[in-house]
Amino acid sequence: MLLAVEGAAAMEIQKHIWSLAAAARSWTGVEEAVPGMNNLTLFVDLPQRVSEIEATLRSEWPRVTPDPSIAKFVEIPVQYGDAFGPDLPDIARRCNCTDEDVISLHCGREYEVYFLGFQPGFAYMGDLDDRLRLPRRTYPRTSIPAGSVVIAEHMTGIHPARSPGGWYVIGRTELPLFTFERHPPSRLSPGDRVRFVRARNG
Amino acid sequence: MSELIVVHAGFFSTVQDRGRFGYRAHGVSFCGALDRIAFEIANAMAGNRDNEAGLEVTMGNSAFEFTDARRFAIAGADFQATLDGAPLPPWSSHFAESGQQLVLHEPVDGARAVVAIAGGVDVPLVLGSRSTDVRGGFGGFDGRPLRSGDRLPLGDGVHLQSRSTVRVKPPQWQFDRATFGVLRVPEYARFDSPSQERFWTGEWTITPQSDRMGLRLSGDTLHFGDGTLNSHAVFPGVIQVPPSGQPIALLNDAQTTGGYPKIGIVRKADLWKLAQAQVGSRLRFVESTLAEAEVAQKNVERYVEEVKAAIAGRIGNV
Repeated sequence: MLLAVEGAAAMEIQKHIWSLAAAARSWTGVEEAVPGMNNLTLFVDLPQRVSEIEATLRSEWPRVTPDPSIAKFVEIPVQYGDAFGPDLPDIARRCNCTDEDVISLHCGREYEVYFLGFQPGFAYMGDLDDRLRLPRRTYPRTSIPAGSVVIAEHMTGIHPARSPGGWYVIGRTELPLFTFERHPPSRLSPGDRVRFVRARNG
Repeated sequence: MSELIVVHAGFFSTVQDRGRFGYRAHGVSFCGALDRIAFEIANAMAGNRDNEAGLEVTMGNSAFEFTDARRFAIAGADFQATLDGAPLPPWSSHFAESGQQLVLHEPVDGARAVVAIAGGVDVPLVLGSRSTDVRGGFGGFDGRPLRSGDRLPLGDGVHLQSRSTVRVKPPQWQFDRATFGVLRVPEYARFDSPSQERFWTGEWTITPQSDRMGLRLSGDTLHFGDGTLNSHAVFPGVIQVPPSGQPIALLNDAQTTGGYPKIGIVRKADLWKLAQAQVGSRLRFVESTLAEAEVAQKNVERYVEEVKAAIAGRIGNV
């Protein structure tokens, strides 16, 4: 069951979606509540529960309020550029600025986690400075190392594990993003506020 | 501890249970056996409790050796299995003695078989499941497909020791040009009319790029009105249409979210058939209402329950 909010994606709407997801997880029959960009999908166990859950969704959506207690603040130390950020020079060139500018613009603001997807613990975070916005790579990289800090369009993210990817690699963090033994296993959750800082030898 | 020796791993074999549930909001895929019917019935025939981890073998050509005497079962695709050379019927269970070899040969029909062993494959639980997440490199046996020489630990938990052979009648399906029930999605309307027509009337061929993440289909090109959608949750059965215009029917290892347009969702009752479609075979899609999909799923569940009851009648209950 997909609840999609009309209009452009916006952080304000996203906050309501997180609150609704948190509430929905406790409703009878809801097995998974997965936020997307401006939408929420519920996985329901039995067909006979669908109409009741739909009715609850419709009545709760206008009433849900953002819950600031959901969010935590996380600082991510990053080594930018060189071997850790092979796309940094290309980004700088295409954005008409220096490598150092790209780093400052990336570190220079706080991001919020929109939702998790793509791979376990991968947080879609926004919004990137306008000056850094580029469409995704035409040809994805086949093997981006774990911890890689990436950007594309209006978002930034971090690869918790090595995987292919279509975003630009600008740096790397040693902070683990997904740990099976932890509860919850993802370090980042929707609503978290994130700031990237230059690691001491970065 | 007892082990099952992987004498020859074959094209692509992994340890799977039902799947890893409850973590999709963290980006964790379900994984698990693609043919759920085969998985449930194989475990029952092997005398196991529900959800013991087994092996999913793709396109046959694998061999396994027992190091102690155990029940085992095969279900799903017919790979002309033999036990020390003696032919085993598809969808059957038997008792192997220590040292015997189970060999799966060329496929007759279908793409994936489940091998269930009494006691289950005893690998550690990761996020509540023993399924292999190949993309993420975790779960199952070392988070990877099996290799020749691997030794799989077997559980000594609750399972039946009966030596009776059991055979069940498998679910019926058509191996080529099978039809799949597809539910409508809101953005279906944004595909142009010729594309909508082509989706239902066309034959879609399964390309070699297909895997447990999804079946990449080739056929007529489908055009979506306006490129991308906001990222949203996807799941097994969702049929995405990327910019290439060639649809992808997602399976259990697919990512949890995506921004490609969807043209429909294969209903749950037909997902096991997607798993059994071989590369090169063709699919057709037919529209299904939600009510029809629910009936189909109830029928599948009833079939599985009836077969499990019949098996229990033959070898007892765990």
